[in-house]
Amino acid sequence: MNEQDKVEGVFSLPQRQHVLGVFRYFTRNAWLLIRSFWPALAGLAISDSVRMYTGLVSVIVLIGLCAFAALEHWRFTFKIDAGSLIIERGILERERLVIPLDRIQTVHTEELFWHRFFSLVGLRIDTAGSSGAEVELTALKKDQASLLIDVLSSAHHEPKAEVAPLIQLDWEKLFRIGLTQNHLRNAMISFGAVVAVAEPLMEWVEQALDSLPTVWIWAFKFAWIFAVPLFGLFFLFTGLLVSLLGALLRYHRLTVRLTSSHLEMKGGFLKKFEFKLPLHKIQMLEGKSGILQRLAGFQTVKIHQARSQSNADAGGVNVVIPGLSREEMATLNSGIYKEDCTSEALRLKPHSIWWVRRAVLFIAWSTIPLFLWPNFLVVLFAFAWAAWSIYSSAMLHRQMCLIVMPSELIFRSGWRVQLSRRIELRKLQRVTLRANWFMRKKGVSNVVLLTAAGPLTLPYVPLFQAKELRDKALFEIESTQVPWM
Amino acid sequence: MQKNHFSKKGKAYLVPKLTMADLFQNPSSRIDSLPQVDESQFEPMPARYKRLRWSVFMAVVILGLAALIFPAVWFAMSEEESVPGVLWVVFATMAVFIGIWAMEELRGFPIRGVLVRDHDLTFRSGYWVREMVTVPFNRIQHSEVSQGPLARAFGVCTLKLYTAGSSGANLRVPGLDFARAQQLRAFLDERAGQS
Repeated sequence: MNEQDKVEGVFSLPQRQHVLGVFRYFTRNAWLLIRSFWPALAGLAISDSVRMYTGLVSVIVLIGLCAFAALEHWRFTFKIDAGSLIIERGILERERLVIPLDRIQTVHTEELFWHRFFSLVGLRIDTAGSSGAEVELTALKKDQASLLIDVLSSAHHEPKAEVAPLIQLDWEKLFRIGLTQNHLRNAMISFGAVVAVAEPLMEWVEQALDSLPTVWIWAFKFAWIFAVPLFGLFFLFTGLLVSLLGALLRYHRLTVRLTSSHLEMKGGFLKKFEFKLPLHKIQMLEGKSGILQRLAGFQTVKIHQARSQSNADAGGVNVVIPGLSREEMATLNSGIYKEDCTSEALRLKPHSIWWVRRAVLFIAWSTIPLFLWPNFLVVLFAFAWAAWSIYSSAMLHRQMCLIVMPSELIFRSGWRVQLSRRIELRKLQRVTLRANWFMRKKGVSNVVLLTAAGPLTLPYVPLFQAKELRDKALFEIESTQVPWM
Repeated sequence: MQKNHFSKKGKAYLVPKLTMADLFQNPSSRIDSLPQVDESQFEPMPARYKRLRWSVFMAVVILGLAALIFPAVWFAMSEEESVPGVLWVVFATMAVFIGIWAMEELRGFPIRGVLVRDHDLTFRSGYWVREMVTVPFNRIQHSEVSQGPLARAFGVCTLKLYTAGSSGANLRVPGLDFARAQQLRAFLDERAGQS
């Protein structure tokens, strides 16, 4: 009996997860319940006649959730037998899942905040054909999980050579990433949260104001104008703080490794994660950079899988890599895709009528307040809006282009926030040409290339080029023998 | 008939001896030389479907006009009140709407059609917004033929094709003859199974 057999022997009898897995089932089911019945819950909170039963209903729901979680944990067993992972689960309807070990592609680990207090870890097991995680083991002891991972990965005899990380975030880089987030959006979210909880505090604020001397109130009446810049600064500072905190929580000690077959990521602060994503499951690579990020010389990359696999609720993983420099981005691109974007590649751009139409539509909106409130300030605002519409439309048109390589596409768009999306033509799902009456008169058409991760739309392409692009895409899809996922 | 290939020692090989050129060919091809979707080959939709669409159109127009004419007549017959301006605006809007819809039926119906090739299916539709959707067979996850009560009355149905990447049917071909749709579906399933 070799070492591998001994390890497999440890799991030869049906085993349950750690008893604290009940807590994970409880929180997951509670969240599902709230999400599914939130309109009913809101109704309960508003209705006075029903609110009196809140306590009773809460107790019943709580007991139900606890019982359900305990049963779910009790009925879930796993074992390894004859080269397969065998899961039995289900309360009313029993399910027996047999997953051959050689079908297992990735095993993600997840370490939530409370997991760490008890040396626990969660596992997500992903197979070749599954859309998302096929199985989730919510809580295992670390040593048990480590043994299980060894067994589950034993079918893949990949050389375990240490690969230098593509990116490894230290505190300085994490700080820079935090600084280059969208502070305005974060500040707005924080402000919204404050407003939402402010109502109960209003009484307290009024009491505090009443207790102030009258002279202070008078001073406030005249000095409020000075508070505006202070409030602005406070607003921005809050946004910055939230950005830094968000970056710390999401990307703490993030390490990304790119091997010949996988992308490996690990990191996280409160919720630690570690997973391997097979490169062939990548449907689209999206690079994104705002003004601040471009000034700092890096961009954020989002890796799109088929939509069902990016859905965290379905057990998928959302892959975002921040702070990639130009060189790191080039390495990532060359690791995933095979072609080089040369200057000889065909570049398609929208017809210039696209930006004129966009600007006209935007300007048309600004005429509505002009009719409703015709005064100097509104006229001034309308002119400023018109100028902005023309400028932004022209800039968008200038930036937007589709680079067509022999078997890949790169779609660039955006000017303040620049996006670059890269796909393989053979992974497309369908192609649509769409043109309204006006576009047909101008001889242009929208090309919608649908990938499993979502659509790419290039607007106002000359019709003959749109048709050529469609025919090329169809040729690539239909002539390939390689599976798209 | 496949010939046997013999080496100098007289041993027979089961497969022909291949050269590198036989194993791997990578001829350059211009985009415009690739197979093209020939728009003159589209198969038109059945006349029954045309009747169904016109019936729906007429029903909506009659109901809409009736809903407007009754209050208009009531106001006209009333001695105290004249027909309010908002009713005229609604009338005008409806007239424009009917005109656009009628044009869609008149000019758009002949454009509707299906093109089935060896490896894909294309559906073309729309006068005001022309759309041509092509779904390769090797991307079809599953297909479905559905028929509501109205479609059943006119003997037509809708073929739905599902691919990855979005929820709901990715291509809907409404107005197919039921037998034709079943035949098409069987063909699609066979081709999708082969790829």
